[in-house]
Amino acid sequence: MNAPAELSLQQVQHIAALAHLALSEDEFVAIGEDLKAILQHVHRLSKVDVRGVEPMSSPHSHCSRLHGDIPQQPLPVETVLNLAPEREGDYIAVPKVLDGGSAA
Amino acid sequence: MSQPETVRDIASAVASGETTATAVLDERLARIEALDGSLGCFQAVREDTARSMATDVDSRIAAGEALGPLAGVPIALKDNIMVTGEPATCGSRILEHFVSPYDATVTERLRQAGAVLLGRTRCDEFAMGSSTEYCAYGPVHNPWDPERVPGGSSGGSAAAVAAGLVPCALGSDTGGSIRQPAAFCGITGLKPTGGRISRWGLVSFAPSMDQIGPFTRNAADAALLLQVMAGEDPRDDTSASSPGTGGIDALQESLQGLRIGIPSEHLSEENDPAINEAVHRAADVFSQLGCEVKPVNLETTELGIACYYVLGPAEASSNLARFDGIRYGRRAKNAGEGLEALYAASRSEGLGAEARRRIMLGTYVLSAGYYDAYYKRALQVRRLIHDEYARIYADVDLLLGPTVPSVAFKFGSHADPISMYLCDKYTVTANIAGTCGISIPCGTVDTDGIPLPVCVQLQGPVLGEDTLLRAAHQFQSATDFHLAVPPR
Repeated sequence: MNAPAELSLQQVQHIAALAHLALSEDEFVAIGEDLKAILQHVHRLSKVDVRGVEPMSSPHSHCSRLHGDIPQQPLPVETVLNLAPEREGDYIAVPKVLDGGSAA
Repeated sequence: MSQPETVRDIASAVASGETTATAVLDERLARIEALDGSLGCFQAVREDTARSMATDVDSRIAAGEALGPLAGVPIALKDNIMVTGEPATCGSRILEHFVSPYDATVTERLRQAGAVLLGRTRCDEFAMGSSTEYCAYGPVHNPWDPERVPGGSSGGSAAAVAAGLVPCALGSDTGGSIRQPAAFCGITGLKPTGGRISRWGLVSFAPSMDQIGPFTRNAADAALLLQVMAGEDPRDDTSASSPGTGGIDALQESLQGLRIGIPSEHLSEENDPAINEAVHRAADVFSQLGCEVKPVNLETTELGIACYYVLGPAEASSNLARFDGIRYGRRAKNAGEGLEALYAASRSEGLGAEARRRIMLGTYVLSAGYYDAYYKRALQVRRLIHDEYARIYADVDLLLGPTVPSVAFKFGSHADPISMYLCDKYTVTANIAGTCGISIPCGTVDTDGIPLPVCVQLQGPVLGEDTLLRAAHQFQSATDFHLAVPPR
C-alpha cells in the first residue's frame, strides 16, 4: 500500500479520466486533498495480518443462488425509450462514436 | 378526533371501523402542511395518489373485504426506492427528471398489505452521507432542534417519523443510513440482515451492503413492517430464501437467560459521555429483564471505517458508472465533441461533491497497481470482521452499544469527510459482515438548553431479527424512552 502522500495531481487527473468526470483545476486539487486524507485513514488496513485470509466479496453466502435461464416479460420498449434524454424513432440518440464527430 | 400514532394502532383502528384510512391520511397531511415547510423531510408529497389509495381501503372495508396488515397506514419512502410513474431522484440532479418504470419489490409488498404511499423523503445523494446535507434539493432539519442535522443518509424518513408526519417510513442502510438518523431523531430504526429484504427497485449504491429497512415509533411496528417486506424475491438473487420472520408474534417471549455482550471498544472515551451513560442505562434494563449482560471484545471495530471506505466506494464507482447521460437521467447540453465528452460532462453536471469523491476513491482502489493493496486487502479484512462477529455470536445472542458516538450535530460542523465518515464507526461493521442491527431511543440529554435524543444499538447475527426485535420490544415494554417526542 503506497503512502497516501504520494498521490500526485497527475494521478488524480488519471483517476478522473477513468471515472469519466470532468473537473476544474480547483476541483482536482480539492478532491486530491480529500483522497489523501481518506487514504491516510484507510492506511491502517496495511498493518493487519491478512496472510492466508480468503477475500470475501459479499456476506450474502447464506442466500446467494443462481436462477434459472427462463425468459421473462421485459419492460415495454416504449417505456424504456422514453427514459432516454434524446431519441430518434426507436433508437437512443448519441454523438458519433467512431470519428469523434459532432453531437447527435 | 385525534388519530392513533403507531402503525399497529392505525391498522387496527382502520380495520375495526373506529376510524377511516381517509381520516388518518387527512390528519397526517395537515401535519405535513403545518410542519414540513420548515423541516424539509419530503421531496414530494403524493396527495392525490395517497387519497385514492385511502379511499380504496375505506370502500373495501365498507364492502366487508379482508385487507392486508397495513391497510390504511400512511408510509413515506426514501427517494431511492422505485414507485411506478414517480420520480426517484436519489437526492441527485442527475436523476431530476427520471421516472421509475416499475415498482420496487418492497413497494409491491406495501401495496398488497394495504399501505397508503404518502410521498418521497429526502436523502443524501445516492445515499452517501450521514447528515442529509448532501441532498441536491435542500437540507432536512432535525425536529428536536432545527439547527441540527437529522443524520443520514435517510434523514428525511427519520425526521418525518420523529415529527409525526408519518407513522413509518422506509430507508436504506449501507453503512448506518437507517440506524444513525434514527438515533439522531430519537426513533426506532432497523437494518435487517443483508438479503432479508429484496433490493429489487432500490437504486444500488454498494450491493454487498445495501439493505432496505423501516423507521417506526417502536420495535413492534418494525417487526410488522419487516414481516410484510421480507422474503425471497426471484428478481433479487441475494434475497434470503430462509423462512420469514415471526413478526409481532415472535416478540412476546421473555428475555430470561438471553446473553447480551457489550463490546468494550464501543464504550470509547471519545464518545459523548451521555452516549456511554445511555448504554449503561440500557444494560441495567436488560439485566432487570433477566438477560446475562457481559463485556466482550470486538477488536475489528477500529478497522470498520477503513474497510468500508474501500469497499463502499469501489462498489459505488462501478454502480454509478451507469449514470452517463445516455439511456436515462441528465444529459449535458453543451458537452463538446464525441461520446466520451458527453459522459464526462453529464456526470460532472449531475453528480455532487460527495458522490464524485466516492467515485474517485472507488476508481482509485480498483485501478491497476492499487487493486491488491486496497480492494483485495479490504475484502480480506471484511472476512476478519465477519469471522469475529461469527465467533462472538457463538458466545452471546446480541450485542449492545452506542448507535453513534455523539448526539445530532449542527449543520456544517462535519464538513471534513473523515469526521463525517466516523459517525458510522459503530454501524458499518454490521453492513460489512451482513448482520442485523436496530437503533432504539434510550433517553434525552440537555444540549444548549434543548433536549436531544440519545439511542443505543442492538446487533444480532445473520437472520437474527426475531431475537433482536424481541429484545427491543421487551425493552420498550419496560421503559418509555421511545415515547419521547420532539417539542412541537
